[in-house]
Amino acid sequence: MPIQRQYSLPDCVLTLDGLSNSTESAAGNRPELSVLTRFECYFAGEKAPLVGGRELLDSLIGATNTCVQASISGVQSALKADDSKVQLQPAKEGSGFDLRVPAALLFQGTSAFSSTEEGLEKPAVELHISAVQLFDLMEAVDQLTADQQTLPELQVVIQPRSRRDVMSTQLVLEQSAPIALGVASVAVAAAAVFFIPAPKVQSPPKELQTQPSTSQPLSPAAAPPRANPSNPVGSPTATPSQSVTSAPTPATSPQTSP
Amino acid sequence: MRLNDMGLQSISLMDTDKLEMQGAMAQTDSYAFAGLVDPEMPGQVCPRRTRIQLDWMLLALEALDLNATENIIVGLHELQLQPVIKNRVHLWQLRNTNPLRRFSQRQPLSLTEGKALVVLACYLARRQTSTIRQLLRADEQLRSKNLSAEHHFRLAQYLERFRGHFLSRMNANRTAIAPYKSSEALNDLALSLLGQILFCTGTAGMQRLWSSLFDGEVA
Repeated sequence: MPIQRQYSLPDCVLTLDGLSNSTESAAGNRPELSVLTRFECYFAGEKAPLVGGRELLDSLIGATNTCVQASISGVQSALKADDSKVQLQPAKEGSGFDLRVPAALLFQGTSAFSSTEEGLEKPAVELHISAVQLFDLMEAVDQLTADQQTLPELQVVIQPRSRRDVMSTQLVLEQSAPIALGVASVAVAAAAVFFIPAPKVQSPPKELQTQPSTSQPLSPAAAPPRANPSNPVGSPTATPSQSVTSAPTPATSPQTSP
Repeated sequence: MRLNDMGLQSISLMDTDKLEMQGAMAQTDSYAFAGLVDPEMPGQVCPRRTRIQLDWMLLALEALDLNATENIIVGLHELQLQPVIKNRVHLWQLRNTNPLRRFSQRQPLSLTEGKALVVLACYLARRQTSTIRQLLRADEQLRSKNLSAEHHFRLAQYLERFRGHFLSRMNANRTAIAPYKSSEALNDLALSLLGQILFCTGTAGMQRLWSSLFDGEVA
């Protein structure tokens, strides 16, 4: 028994033609559409509907599901698009969405899209649909899957995508940016340092070496008063003139400490 | 904000009948949240993106409907969500789990509370379905003619209100808010939220919104 079901929304109409498997034809109840023979998807403003079979329906439902999910969450999928399936993606320019339906999924000759007008057979049909049209498509799909009397085995799995599925290329780029920046700065620094001549080590002449040795006995002489626990900050490399000026401070400290 | 004044009074109330609430939550789980499956989240709390997204969607809904605050309270009664969201103050606290808010509470949002906000958002969105469609269509037409949003009264009104709500409630010092300094960026955010809200008005809108909130968050 042929049955036709229509899910009609302002901007998108899904029409399903099919047969009922059950022999009992209940007069009052809606018979169950269990075998799909023809599927039609029409968008308002387009010349002709997309016509296909079960494959087109399944593929369209899958694409709608993915696209809507990505659209609500704003998280794009990392999975590569399959050319043999319906693809639905946000438009590259401007608002709206790009729908790409491979010609293999369409019934040849029945749809205006599949007609080979200029003798050229296009590999796919491409449509631009608005956000409102996508909503109507989603709503029609949801009504269809919620309808227990039409293809009851048809189910849409709505679940969050895993972290692996949404790891977009942009994220990889973002993650690798700090590493690249680090490597690049090390390279630049290395190149700059390469041109700086290595300083020559000049061994000090022997005459000069002997001169400081004579002045050295002075500093140990000045050091003992500074070695007091009251003034541990004094630097051992201080010149003798400084050590002389700093000498009064240890002298005053014993007076104040008791 | 009116909610602010009432805040301190009922915080103490909430702690006392926490046990009672948990029992009621289990009850609410059975009917209001039908079809919303718990994702496998560590600690059974909503992640950061979920909290931000939910709050921003409610913000957009408030900008869309002047009576949103009243409608939310009516919705809590109608949807029998009171065991989870007791009153305005509690709702305000839940929305303040958004880390980008000025008065962020730094508290977790449990999955049950998240579900309640999803149910509430979808309830509000469904009441505004026709308006959302009109606005999105208007935006599309304006774009095709290269006109700014100011040429459509209702759209301009929505965008202005959204910008006002956003700037008054979000913490401008946060890095995540920095990209939304200009009014163009805020307009784009408002329009993308509008598109997201439209998808929540459908037959399976609630499930779609709920699952999208955890997109890329589950293992």
